[in-house]
Amino acid sequence: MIKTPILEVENLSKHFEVQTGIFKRETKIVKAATDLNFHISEGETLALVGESGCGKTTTTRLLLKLQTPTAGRVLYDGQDINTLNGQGLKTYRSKVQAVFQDPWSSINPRVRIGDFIAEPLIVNEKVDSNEVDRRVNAALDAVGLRRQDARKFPHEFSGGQRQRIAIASAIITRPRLVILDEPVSGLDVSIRSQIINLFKDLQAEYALSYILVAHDLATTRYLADRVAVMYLGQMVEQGNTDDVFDAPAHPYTEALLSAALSADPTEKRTEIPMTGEVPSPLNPPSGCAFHPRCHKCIGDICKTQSPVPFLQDPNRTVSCHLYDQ
Amino acid sequence: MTQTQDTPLLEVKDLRVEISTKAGSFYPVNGHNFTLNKGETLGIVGESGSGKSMTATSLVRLLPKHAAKVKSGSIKLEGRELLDLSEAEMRKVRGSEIAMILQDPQTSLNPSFTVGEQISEAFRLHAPGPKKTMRARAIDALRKVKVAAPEHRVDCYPNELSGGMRQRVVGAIAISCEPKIIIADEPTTSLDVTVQAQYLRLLKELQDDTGMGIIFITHDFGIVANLCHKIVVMYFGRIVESGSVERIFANPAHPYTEALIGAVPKLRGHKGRLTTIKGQPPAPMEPLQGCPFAPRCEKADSRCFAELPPTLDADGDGEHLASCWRVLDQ
Amino acid sequence: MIDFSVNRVSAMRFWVRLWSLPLVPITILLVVFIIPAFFADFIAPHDPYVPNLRARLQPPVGFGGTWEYILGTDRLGRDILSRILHGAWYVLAVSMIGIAVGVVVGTTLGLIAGYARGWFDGLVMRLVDISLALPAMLLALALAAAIGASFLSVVIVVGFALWAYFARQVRAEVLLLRNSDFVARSQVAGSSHTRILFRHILPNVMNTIVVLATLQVGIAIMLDASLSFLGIGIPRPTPTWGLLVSDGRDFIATDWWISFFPGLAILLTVMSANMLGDWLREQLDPRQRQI
Repeated sequence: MIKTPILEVENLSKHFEVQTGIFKRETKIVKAATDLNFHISEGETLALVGESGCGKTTTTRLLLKLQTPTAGRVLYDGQDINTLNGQGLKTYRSKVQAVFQDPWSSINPRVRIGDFIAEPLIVNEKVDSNEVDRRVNAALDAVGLRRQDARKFPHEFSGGQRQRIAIASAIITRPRLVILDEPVSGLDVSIRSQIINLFKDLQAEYALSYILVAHDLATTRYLADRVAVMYLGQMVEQGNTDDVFDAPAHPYTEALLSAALSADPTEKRTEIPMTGEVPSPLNPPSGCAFHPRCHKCIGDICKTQSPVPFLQDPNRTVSCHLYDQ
Repeated sequence: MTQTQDTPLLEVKDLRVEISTKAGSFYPVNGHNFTLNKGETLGIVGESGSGKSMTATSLVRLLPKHAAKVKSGSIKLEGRELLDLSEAEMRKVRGSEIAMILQDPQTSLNPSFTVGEQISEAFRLHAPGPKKTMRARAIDALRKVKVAAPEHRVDCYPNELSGGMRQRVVGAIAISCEPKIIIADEPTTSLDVTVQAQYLRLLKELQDDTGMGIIFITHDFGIVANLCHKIVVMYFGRIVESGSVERIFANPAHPYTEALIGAVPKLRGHKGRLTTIKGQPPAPMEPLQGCPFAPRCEKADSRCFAELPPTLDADGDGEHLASCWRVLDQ
Repeated sequence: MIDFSVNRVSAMRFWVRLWSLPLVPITILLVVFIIPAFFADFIAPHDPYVPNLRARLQPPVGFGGTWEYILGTDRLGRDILSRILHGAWYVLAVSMIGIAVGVVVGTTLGLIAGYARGWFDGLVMRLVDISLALPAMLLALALAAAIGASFLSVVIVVGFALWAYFARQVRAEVLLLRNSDFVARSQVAGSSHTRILFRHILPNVMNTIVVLATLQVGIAIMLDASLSFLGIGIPRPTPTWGLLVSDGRDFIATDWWISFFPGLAILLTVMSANMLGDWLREQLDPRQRQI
């Protein structure tokens, strides 16, 4: 199967200015995302992995056009999304959707479920009310809710049902890409697996692509085809999920994965202890941002020069001085 | 585990807690039996609403007054009945013998006192002393929980510390009086995996040093599988299965446990479909006949809907118990 | 821990709410304020404007007066009760229209400021600061001097005194709401700013506006009464309550009832309005609703 990229991200950066000091005189720059390069193809799932503050959320917000990048481009079918307007923008809005973490805050409490689900359709496409009803019903069917639920208000549903409602709304325009921001971490274990299975079913049925942000590494491994590991706003490693999880190339990936607890007492793990905590993005370390915590730091070069992404094979890039020369 | 096998550190028998509301009453803790030995870690697993947090609060007798009360049963700490103690005696037990770590490090520290002041506060209640020694002991406690530069951090306010650091401070307060038992209620849900791993390793090291017992209240099977010796699985206020981690993961006797284990993606291994449990957990006052899990159970038959299963011995040696009729059929 | 099934809770909540309806303040408001405001012509025993010099300074019933003038008469022999009843309409009109002005201006500015941020937000917040720092009385005096004290000038003063509270509160809530996931989701869906503002944000600040408006009824009435008392309110002979209180000022030691009963009407109305506002706030505050 030849996979065509839906979304290509080129040298994407987002820097925020922050005023610090007592009189807010000092302006510092927080590099929430620096020089990101990745792409996502039809029907595949890409996961963004990293500790909090690594820039995962900023990246998804840039892709969703909730923020504008400081530099770089996001190409949708070859077109920069930040130059889109009119019909082009409408197409983008209807083809790229999102499901957020908290099923309690992502649904307006004062709107009926049916109207909530239909919103992306109504604002982007010219459809009559019969068509809206038909599509809402189809979406409710697809996520396993009853059709009469359309008339109810959000408070009548449990967390798992609400997440289904959010998913129904995200797929009603038949999108190509859905961004999932911690889609199951607010749910109970038994409900979580229902939703994860639902994501898989929908992907198979509609050839959906997902960009997944999840702090639970087991869920990430289960859902993602490819994974991109981020640290302090930079992408340190990218590759096929199994390759990365089985043989992490970057020392950070190695340490991060070793910290994950598997829900299986027979799996032995050897934790690679990371010293200290994630540095403040206001004062990122020089050179390779990870060097103060790195267990494989090879000396001055790590402290002074930031590493260049190294292409191990077409699907795998690593940014680490271990792979220089 | 250790020599005190005959008198367990904590022994809970037939514990029942009742909550009364305007709309009626129900039992979030209904007939609990479990023991915790010295140096042992017990995991209490369940979904939200299963009554696992209520179990923890009832052990230290911090149930919300008026609304909830212990109806029957016994909680014995090294043979001493906690339910018979006066409020003043219980307060002593809470600080020095049983300590609690709550879920949110954000709210369990007072934002207007320094870390050092809050740790000394815990010391002062049990072993008062002059200010200088207090400070020295607070620094010592911080060093024990592996806070870097404790001499500096002791004068910090909670908002100056990161989430992981704050959770360590909460830990420092909990272990300050060398308790025999630490009850940790979802202590790492708000932390990153790396910080979580560091924190859990720390608790384990402290346990190895002091031989304290740990009770983890959690829904995270990763924590259970990696840290606990024994687990207790709760559903709808009842313990549906209990036993050692190895046995339960290898050979779950209750369909609920089996489904829960199958519902969690594993870090390694198969990528097949995850097990799901149909429907929703019941509401606390839902009138249910028979086994409360029966409406969601794939293997339920008419007996399950008619009669509540008793606690049965699954492996024939009294170490692995389950409340399911299927155990009889094996 | 205690999560009841949702349907049962909403049914229960309805009965609990109905049962806890604050009947006393509602009754007082109806009897003292709202019914008189609309039906004074039918229930007032006397004409509030026509002097009757033979019945000057009659004390109320129980203090040597007769049932003809239940609450007594003023120094021109006008029936106090009738004057209070007729005054209610003006008090109601001024406070309602004044609050309406405050709600419309304050909510609009607060919504836009909180949503758009930037220089407009800065401007609105400075105006709020100025408005809160400037005593309403000063503006009333200025207006009275410029366009003369009238119904319009009083309404403007009340609206001016109240809009800033609405603007500040609405802005604060919009700031939270605009960062909420459901607003982000609506943006992702491609909704326009107007759609987001009116469909997603405004309905969620409605509760606050209603509660704040109810709590402001008391402030509006007090303000109206103060203006009338000082003689810069609705001009004579309109019997606004503040004016009635002021009328009895010189006789307070001997003929106390002239000031007392209008004052009592103000007290009861403002207190009841505040109690109703507190009750509404408890009912509509989502934090209070979670059992």
